Amino acid sequence: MLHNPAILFWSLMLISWASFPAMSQNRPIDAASSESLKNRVKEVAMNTRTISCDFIQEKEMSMITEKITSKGKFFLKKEKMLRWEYLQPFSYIIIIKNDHITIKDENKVNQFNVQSDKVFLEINRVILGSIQGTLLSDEQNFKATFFENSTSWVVKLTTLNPKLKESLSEIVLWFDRKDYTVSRLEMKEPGGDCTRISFSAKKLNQPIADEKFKVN
Amino acid sequence: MKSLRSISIIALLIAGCVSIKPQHVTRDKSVTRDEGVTRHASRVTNFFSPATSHLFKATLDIRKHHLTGLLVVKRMDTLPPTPPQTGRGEWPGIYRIVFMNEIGLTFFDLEMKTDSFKVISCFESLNKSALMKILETNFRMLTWSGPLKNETPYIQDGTKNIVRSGMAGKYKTWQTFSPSGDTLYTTSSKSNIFDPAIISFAKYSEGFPVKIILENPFIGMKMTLRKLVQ
Repeated sequence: MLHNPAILFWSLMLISWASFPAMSQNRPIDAASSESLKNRVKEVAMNTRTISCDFIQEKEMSMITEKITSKGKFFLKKEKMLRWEYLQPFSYIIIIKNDHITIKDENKVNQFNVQSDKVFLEINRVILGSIQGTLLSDEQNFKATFFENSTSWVVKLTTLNPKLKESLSEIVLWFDRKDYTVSRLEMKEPGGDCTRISFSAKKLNQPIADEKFKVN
Repeated sequence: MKSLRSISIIALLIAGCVSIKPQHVTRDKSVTRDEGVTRHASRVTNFFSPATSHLFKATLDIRKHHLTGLLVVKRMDTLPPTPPQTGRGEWPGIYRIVFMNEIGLTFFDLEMKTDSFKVISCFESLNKSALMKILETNFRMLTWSGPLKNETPYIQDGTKNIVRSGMAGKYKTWQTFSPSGDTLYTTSSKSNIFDPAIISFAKYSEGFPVKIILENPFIGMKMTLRKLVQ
């Protein structure tokens, strides 16, 4: 029966198709590989002076079937300059420069110190730490478990800090195998809701003017 | 100690005097009553039809606290209510109301049914029963779609806006419509001195108010909603 080329072709296609999900599944990695990944991520983060990229954020709620999707641009410049800009379906800009936060919500601008707002301080630490990979070594607040698949290194961070656990139960980070930068970030809440942020059109170490970190 | 208590009582009494009645209204005697419901009762107030969801850019101000993010109001039931189950004074349907910050973390997630109001999840600092009761009044009145019980018609002097007063469930309610009666401008309600809710509807587009403001003057709460198109 396998002498029939058409049947052989379709059998091979079926086998490839059936094995694809297994290939794309996450496999745990050993302690030595985890340590090596942590060091590599740290090294890349240290050598990265700027990051600019697009992002798509999807909020998935347990009881509501629709996802809430927003899009925007992300800019990071060492030391401590960040622009997180939502473009769709609303306009919202967060700029962090040293410890000062400027928020432009539609046309309203607010400025405050990051230390004065504990919630914002925590969110800032989690988001920046995720992108820069520093959360991987934050053993006081997270228990890290390491996996790999064909395209990414996957790090699951289970929240240990009881205060943080109230709003975030787990963070999952996908590091691109090619450049060890974060390509996807998933924040899981205790109630089952989840926010996924995917980064694309990533540019590393390209010049970004300081003006980008000012609100017009 | 005694004087402090007296001040608190006086403050409560003053707050209790928060009037929800629209100003300069006179009884409209041209409209007759028919078993407690006026003939002009069928105004357009049903913004949340079954199985629909609406996304808003939202800001919540409570005294010095300022939160911004997105609010989702989803009506979970799919079948239109039948009159025997959802007579006057009820909130037909099941609503899920979620307020989250821009980054996606949930501030509160509420479930509202005809006879229950459940906090699914909530930031610890917001999870106070008094605040939840105030939010319940506001969201019940936001989603109210039926005529008022024992409705009394009024006309607002000068603007000629049509005003109706009556009961929406346990809430004494005033609704202000455009002179033609097809556009709802405000709904104000309260069941006790703590939960007065004043809701303004503005900037209508295709029959839906793009801007909605929910206020509780008693605690100085203001929630501003701007409808977003996904």
